[in-house]
Amino acid sequence: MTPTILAALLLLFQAPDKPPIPTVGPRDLVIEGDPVRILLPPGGIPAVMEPDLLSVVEADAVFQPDEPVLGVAIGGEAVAYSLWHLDGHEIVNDVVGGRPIAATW
Amino acid sequence: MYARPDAKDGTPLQFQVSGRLWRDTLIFFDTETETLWSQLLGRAVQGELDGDVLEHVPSVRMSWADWKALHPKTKALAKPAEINRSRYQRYFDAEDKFGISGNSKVDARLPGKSGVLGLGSGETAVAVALRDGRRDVPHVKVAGERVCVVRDGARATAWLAAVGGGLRWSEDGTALEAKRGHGGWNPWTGKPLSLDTEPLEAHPSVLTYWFTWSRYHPGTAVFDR
Repeated sequence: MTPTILAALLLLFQAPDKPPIPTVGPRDLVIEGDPVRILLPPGGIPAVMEPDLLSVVEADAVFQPDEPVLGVAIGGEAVAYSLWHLDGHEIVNDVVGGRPIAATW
Repeated sequence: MYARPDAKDGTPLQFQVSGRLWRDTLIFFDTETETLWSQLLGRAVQGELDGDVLEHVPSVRMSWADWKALHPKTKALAKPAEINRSRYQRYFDAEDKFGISGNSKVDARLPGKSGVLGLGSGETAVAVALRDGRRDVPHVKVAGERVCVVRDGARATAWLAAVGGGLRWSEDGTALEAKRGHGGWNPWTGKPLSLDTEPLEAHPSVLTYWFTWSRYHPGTAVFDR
């Protein structure tokens, strides 16, 4: 589970007279007793909307053998997402084996 | 990992990062309705689609080398070559850092940063503890169903234990086999090793930290053997 900590802390410690961070949903949202905190504007961490996929040969040039990946296989099609790369995106909107999926962890 | 359901216009929802955190984990939103969704629960928590549940899609975490050995024709999401480590590595390594809400409310049954494979939810939730050097196939009951958990250090996955007698590692440690009768499977893909055997069926699971799992499922049971 990736925390959005580093970027979030930077924003938290900004000067208090800055305008409030834009958000989606009610600003003072509490669910089951716990607040839904606002740390970054929507899309401040950009999800991948149109994934560009590499072959194994191409990926070997940029992936390290011990690089952790999130892997999914559907209907004979397999795709790996680098967790180091997902840190900066959090969500990949993809279609694997004809199935629309959201890769996130 | 989740399936993306169709929006009203028949195209799949697209998800983006909301910039909000609930219980220290990601809240995302769909661009079509701006409903807020909990990543950990896989469920809409505020907005037009509130209460809708996303279908779980089985996925695994492992090294690139292991993954491409299992799936030689795999594709991989393109990434900048200069990304060669996690930007959160120091956070992962810090045993006393639990998200941004501080270190206060961690259920003491396991260390907060223990990896767990979370199964079920609410009163039937079970957290299977993952520990270095632990490599086995425990079977746990989740809401009356017997679930076969494959553990190998920080790696883990879950299968429906539909096979009579359950599963275990094969003697050479490369495959799962039935305790009774025959049949062998790849422990991480569930694929059968022979043509006359059915593939294993995945059981939904969440690989996460104990402090996160226990905040979302305070009534969870713990399996730490």
